[in-house]
Amino acid sequence: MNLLESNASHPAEVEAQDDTRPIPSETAGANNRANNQPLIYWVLLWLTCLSVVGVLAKSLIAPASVQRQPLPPAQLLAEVPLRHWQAIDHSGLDGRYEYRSVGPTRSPVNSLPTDTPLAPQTPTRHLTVTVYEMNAFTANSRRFQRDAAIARSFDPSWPQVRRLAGVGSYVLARDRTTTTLTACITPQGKSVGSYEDYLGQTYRQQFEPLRLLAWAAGTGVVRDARCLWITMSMPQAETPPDQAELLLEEAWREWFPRWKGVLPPG
Amino acid sequence: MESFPLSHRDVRLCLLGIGAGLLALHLTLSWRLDDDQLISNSLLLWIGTCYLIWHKRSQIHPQFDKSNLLGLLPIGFVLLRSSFLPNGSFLAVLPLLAALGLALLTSGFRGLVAFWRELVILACLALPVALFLFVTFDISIYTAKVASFVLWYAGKPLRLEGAILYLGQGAVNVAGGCSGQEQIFHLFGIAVMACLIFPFRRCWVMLGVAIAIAFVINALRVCLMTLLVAAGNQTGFVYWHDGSGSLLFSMISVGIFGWIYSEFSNAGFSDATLNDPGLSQAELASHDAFHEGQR
Repeated sequence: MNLLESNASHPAEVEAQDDTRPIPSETAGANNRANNQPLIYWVLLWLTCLSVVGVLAKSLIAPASVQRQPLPPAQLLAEVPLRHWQAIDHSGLDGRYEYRSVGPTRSPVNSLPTDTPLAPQTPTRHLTVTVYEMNAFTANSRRFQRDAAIARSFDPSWPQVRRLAGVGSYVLARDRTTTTLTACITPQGKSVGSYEDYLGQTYRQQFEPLRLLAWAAGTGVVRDARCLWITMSMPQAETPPDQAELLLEEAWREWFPRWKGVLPPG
Repeated sequence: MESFPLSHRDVRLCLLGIGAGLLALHLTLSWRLDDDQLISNSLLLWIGTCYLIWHKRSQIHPQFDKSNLLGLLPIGFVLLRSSFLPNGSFLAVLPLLAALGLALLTSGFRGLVAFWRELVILACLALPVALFLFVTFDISIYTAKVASFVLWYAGKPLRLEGAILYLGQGAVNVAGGCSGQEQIFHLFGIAVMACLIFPFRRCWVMLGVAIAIAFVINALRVCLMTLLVAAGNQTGFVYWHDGSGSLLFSMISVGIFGWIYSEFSNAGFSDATLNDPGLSQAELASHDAFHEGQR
């Protein structure tokens, strides 16, 4: 056997067999014995050895910056104008946007079913949007999904996840005080509302050969798990949930195209 | 093909130089990344790998065939990436690629078989990256549940929402580094290494034990951090979350695992020699001699 003289490769076995070996000088002699190897092997080893020493010297003398994660961060928009809504708080830097309705209280563009109770006339409606960059669909966002599922169990006709053609999915939820639309915008510019959609989006990436090449070249990641978590909410005291859902969807159609490029692909 | 007289020692020295260089390169880059967990984990697994190679050093007799050339691919890739664009995920994979290249360079495909233990140990470092690619799991919620149970049992009036623990005026969001995934991978790697270096019958059970220890110890760390936040001690929180305190918990879990492992291996070895047909005659003989000496 060329590589190992015996089958024993485990330390315990090696030590046990060491006792039965010939005298050390004989072993040393065998180790030093000239062994005809192709010249290419010798050249190969020396070149590799020199390359390793060279790269090691470079990393000590002129090191390349070691990055933790080569992903471009999201640049949150400072202002996001919405039709029929006036921005009242421009603190977009911390990912929070506040709006109030413009003019008299209006009905949603989409016609409501005839039996939908209309909201009592209120002077203004308020819309709050929060934007948060996530590294992954975390436990808390999944908790939101679970809460939405529980809400649906009380009202089976109420859809949890809805989809918009060309946009993706989003979730509508309501609790005692607010009606909420949530979705995550992936770096690929898709809106995902459910954990399953999110997995579908991110797992599809890693089978793309270009993505693997980008990782190998150090310019990208194999799986970009980030997404931009967006929550739009309206207080139920001002707008009944059925109307709020339609207004939120309308706002989402406007909101999504502005934000889909904010998280650059990794 | 033109041949060249070379002693095994010459070739082995050359291979040793390549291996030592790659090891130094990895540790240098890991140190620059300033990731304590990666550095400590890498050091430990490299030591285990070197230990195994040291024990078989006299048996390594490199031989060239065409498959040796394949070893240049992973080594070349490692050198290129290390020179220009090293990053965290690459540094986790670097040791495995380096070892793969070195094994191929030593003896071609036969090298992969001969050095499978070393490759498996270094693969443990790449495990988090590989799992992140193909599996998505988040244990934050379970860590938070265990921590909340411990605090509730200790009589603390806390509230748990998803992975957020509310206690008094403070709240702790269990996510990412707090979830314990890193600690689990760290101890799992140590358990794999221990099983390969100091095996005993059913030592693979210890992999599960390692995961459980890492998870529970981390949950206790989360409890401590929640108490600190509730008491308004932000400095203490940062120390146990990011500072040396987080490493201290890693040390505790490694210490507990080491103690359990040594206890089990001491108890398990005698069973193994009697029942395990996989052990070599040499091991059986040395074991018998050991017991003879004791009598």
